[in-house]
Amino acid sequence: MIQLGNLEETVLLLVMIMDEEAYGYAVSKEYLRQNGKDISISAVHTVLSRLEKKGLIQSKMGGSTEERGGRRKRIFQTTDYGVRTAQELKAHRTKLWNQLPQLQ
Amino acid sequence: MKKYPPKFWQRFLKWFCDPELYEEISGDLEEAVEERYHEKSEAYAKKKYRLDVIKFFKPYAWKKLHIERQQAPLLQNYLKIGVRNILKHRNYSILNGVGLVLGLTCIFLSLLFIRNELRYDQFHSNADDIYRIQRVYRSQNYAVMPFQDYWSTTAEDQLNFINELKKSQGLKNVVQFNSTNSPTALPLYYVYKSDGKKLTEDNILWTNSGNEIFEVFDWEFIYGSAENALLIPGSIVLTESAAMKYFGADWKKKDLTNEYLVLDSAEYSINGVINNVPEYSHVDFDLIINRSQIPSWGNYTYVKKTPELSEQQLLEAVSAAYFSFRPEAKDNPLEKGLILQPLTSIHLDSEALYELKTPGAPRYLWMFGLIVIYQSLYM
Repeated sequence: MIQLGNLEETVLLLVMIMDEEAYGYAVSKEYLRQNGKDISISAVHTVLSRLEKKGLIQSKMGGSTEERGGRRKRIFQTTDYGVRTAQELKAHRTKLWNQLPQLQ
Repeated sequence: MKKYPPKFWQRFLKWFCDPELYEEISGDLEEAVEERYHEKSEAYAKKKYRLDVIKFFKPYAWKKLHIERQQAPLLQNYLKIGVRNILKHRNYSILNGVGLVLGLTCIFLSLLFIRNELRYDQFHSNADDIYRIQRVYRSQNYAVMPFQDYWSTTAEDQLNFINELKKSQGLKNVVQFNSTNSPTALPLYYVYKSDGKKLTEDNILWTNSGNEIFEVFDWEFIYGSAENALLIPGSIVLTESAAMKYFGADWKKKDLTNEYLVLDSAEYSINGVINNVPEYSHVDFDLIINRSQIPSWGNYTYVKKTPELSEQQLLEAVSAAYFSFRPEAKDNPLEKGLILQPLTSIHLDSEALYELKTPGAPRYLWMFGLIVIYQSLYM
């Protein structure tokens, strides 16, 4: 099973949450919204690119807007493999956390 | 109202960014600038933009090096396309190709011709010190120096001028010869071999200067040596083609020193074989025969001077010898004196009568030179 870093895991989940709206800038805003912490757009881009290389997410170009000067965004979506990996990760985490009754 | 992000950083981003990622990255950053401008202030938006650009300066975003994938397949592709292209316009391609070939051939041949013309007689090692003595009579320049009694001069008397010349200082060698190729001598002789076979020969060099001729002219020996090949009258030196003509392709295996040829009722023994005379020589021959009496009314006379002597001094020495050899010439108003023709200039610069070969003309060299230049510009 794949080992994912903390940030990678978070971003993967965010992509799943955002469902068709996940692109660089949007993910960084969502991260801020969800976690209260700033993240630079470049960090997000890097992570997204890594996740794509690992095959957990896939991208396509689309949706240009005025604000972007007419440039398109790269929209990310999870692959089936990505979904399965997320489920496995959750299962592992939960198994460990469940062994600590005091942290329920 | 569209606020543009700081130009410099925008350009910087475009400069280092991989074109594949540029669209999405710059798009995201500009969207961010818009939002931040509206949320906070222009200054804040710009500051954030600068920071963002700097943060994007990571290996992930840099322009990728062009790693050469295997060159062979792509090269093959280019070749394939090239060939298809040629075949698609077949007629034009053929025409073009033929034109190219013709052009190249013209250039090549022209250059060869020019080179050949310019290297006449250069192969003699002392070519710069060798001159032919020519005489000006009436207004005509003669390449042949006459014997004192013309056709009836005895063998000893034929050497008078030469002997006179040899008394001068600074003249290293003086030689003379005549040739069947000259209008001043007979063009054809019958040659009889020792086995009785009869052949014709039209390319003979007659000389009564003996071995000295090899000190002036560098004709290379294959068989025999320059010191003694023409030592005595009655000896012959053959060129390689003559050796093959008279004695077959396997002449090397035969001992030619025992052989002889009969010409003009005299027997001549063979004493050496030299390389064929190159085409770029003003004189050509297949045999050199040492004959004490040259069968002509005059001779081509050549002098090799020492390097220290100037041309002027040489002319004075030669003229002095001529006038003591022919005292009556001094008072004769028709005798305009002697001139020295440098060996290397004979082919392209001779105005003399009785030349051994048709001279070349510098204007042809200019013409072909222009052809070469013109062609190479239009290839």
